[in-house]
Amino acid sequence: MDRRDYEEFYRHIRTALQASGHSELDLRIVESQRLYDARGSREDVEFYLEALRQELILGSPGALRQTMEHFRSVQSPSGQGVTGIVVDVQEQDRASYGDLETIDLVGSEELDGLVAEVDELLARVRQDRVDG
Amino acid sequence: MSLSLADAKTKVDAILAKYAAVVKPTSVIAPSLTSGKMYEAWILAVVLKRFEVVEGFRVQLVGSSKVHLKSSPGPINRQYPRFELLQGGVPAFEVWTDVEFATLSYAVSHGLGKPLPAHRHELDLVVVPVGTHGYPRHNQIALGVECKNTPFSKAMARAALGVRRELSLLSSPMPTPFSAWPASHVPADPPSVLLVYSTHPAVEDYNTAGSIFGVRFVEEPM
Repeated sequence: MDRRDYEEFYRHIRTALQASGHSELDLRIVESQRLYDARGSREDVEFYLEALRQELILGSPGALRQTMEHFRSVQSPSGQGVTGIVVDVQEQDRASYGDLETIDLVGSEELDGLVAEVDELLARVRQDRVDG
Repeated sequence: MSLSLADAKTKVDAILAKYAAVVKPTSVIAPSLTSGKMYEAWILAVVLKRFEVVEGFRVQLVGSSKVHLKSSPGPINRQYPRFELLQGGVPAFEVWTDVEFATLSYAVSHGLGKPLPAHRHELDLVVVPVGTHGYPRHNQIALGVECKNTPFSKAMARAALGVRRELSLLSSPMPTPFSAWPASHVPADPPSVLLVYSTHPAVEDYNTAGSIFGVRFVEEPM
């Protein structure tokens, strides 16, 4: 792909993510990667996809498994191991979270597969840099 | 085989369609909350493992069999679960998540009662003496940790330096309560250790400034 292709591809990714209802994620990626003025170079595409990948990883059960593995040696005074990770929703936040008191961090199996797909796409983009 | 624009668009469309099907935009639980908290849990696990392996503490979860994080920071509430770091079977420190500490400026101004927002700052993880409650004082923080699950911006580095200023004054190296990890000495009085973790390699660029003031910026991807 040439420079113009990458600029179009970059616009396409952002538009598609926004259209899927995840404008907030798009904005977060742009802010975190400081892509405010990005025109869509190959590097911009890489940065954007890397940030998207990180988002997918943190929502996946792979991240939970990896974290729980680290907690394996931790026990309660009665000898029980760590059985899960929860977020306690503070009273002032409950209206924003449908009156939930706790959120279990469980991860979604499908996101593990999506991480692999983003990895594959990123590898193609990086290979394209070598070729181009 | 080189990548064509049409091929790239098709692949990304497929990925985003699946993502939208899995993570519903209408969910009341923002994906940013769960990803941020998952990273915080990961760093908590990394920190506890280091204390166990390097410092020789035994780590114990008290008050629950689940790790509890909070949606917003606040004072230490002793009814919440926490981790204890034990030395010789005796608790030496406690580890709490999502805690606001009462700042150095609060102490200097002889503040009384609940510190106002300007006089308290959040840390994602704190290590404090056993029995600490409410808003820990700046001189009760043995270790403070910040977790950023996004690429690291300069504003984040500035914020960390601001937190450092509200924890301690710059000084010649002083001994911390730890023998080796996260640091045996820091250029800070009181000698708290401040670690800033990020998933992004650029975080470590800020160590040139951080090392002067006792802030260590650490890349820790998942």
